[in-house]
Amino acid sequence: MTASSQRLVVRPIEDRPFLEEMLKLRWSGASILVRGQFLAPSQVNAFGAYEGDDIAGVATWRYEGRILYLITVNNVTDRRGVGQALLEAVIAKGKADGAPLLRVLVSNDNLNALGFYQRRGFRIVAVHIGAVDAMRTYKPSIPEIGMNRIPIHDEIELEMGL
Amino acid sequence: MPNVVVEPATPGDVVATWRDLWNGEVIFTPRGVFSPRDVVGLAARDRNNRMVGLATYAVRDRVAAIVTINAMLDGNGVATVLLERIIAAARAAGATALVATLTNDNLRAFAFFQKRGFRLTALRPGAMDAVRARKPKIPLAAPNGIPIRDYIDVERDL
Repeated sequence: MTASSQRLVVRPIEDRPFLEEMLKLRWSGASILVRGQFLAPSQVNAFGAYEGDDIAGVATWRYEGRILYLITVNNVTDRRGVGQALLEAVIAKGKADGAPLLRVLVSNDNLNALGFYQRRGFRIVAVHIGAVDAMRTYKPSIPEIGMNRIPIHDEIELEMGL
Repeated sequence: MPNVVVEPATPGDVVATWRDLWNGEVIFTPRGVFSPRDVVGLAARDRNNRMVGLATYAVRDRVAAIVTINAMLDGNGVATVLLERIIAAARAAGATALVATLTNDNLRAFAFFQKRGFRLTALRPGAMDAVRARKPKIPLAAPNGIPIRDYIDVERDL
């Protein structure tokens, strides 16, 4: 475990200009592909994991109907447990809102995320074959090769009941 | 390349490996139940004639299916050598596609196949629940903590 004297606190990021600027920098081309659509930073909400005033990680989410979608989870530092803390905050948010389901999509190369979510109560509910390939037609900057040197083609959809 | 010799496996190699590493005497796949006599086995042996890898496959209707592939030692390229031999043998047998099925917990296999030309083709949600009913030794979760539930099919052209 990374030693840290600061407690990790997760709270909504209310400063929209700050959030959108940060996401524009993190999301190549200032948008992110989810479920065959491009989302701009203005279309998501976010939780930040803070150590004091420093941000250690960000999770973004949005509703589509009553279903809560986790869009991204990013660790900004190497502190452990940030993804877990952010996921817990999103789950708590969904439960408080009465959302029946939490869903997340990962690309076929992202085995770390596939493991992370499956170990935390999500199960794979669908595979969208060629979904990333289709979107690359519109956004050629989407890389061909992803993590683990695996070609990126598909989206894998995971879900957990809340 | 690992310093191994790949040769036809004996029926005993297949039986022992399936018993020790696959929780039983037969392998359940989306393409049916395979017993050792239904498959071609390839064994990789080191210079001391110790088996360090075993792969089994079957060819039907121009589709070759990998039934099992195991490297007894990690990270030394044995599985890659076995896969290359299956590809060559399957092509020689007239197959035009090579398929494999893994379980949802097996992220290493998912990476292995995807790095070697295989594409994700299908999810079979809950398939392992039915398999577990016939093979009760299959644990509920893998050592990496992921519940074992689904089949994931992958495929490549030959």
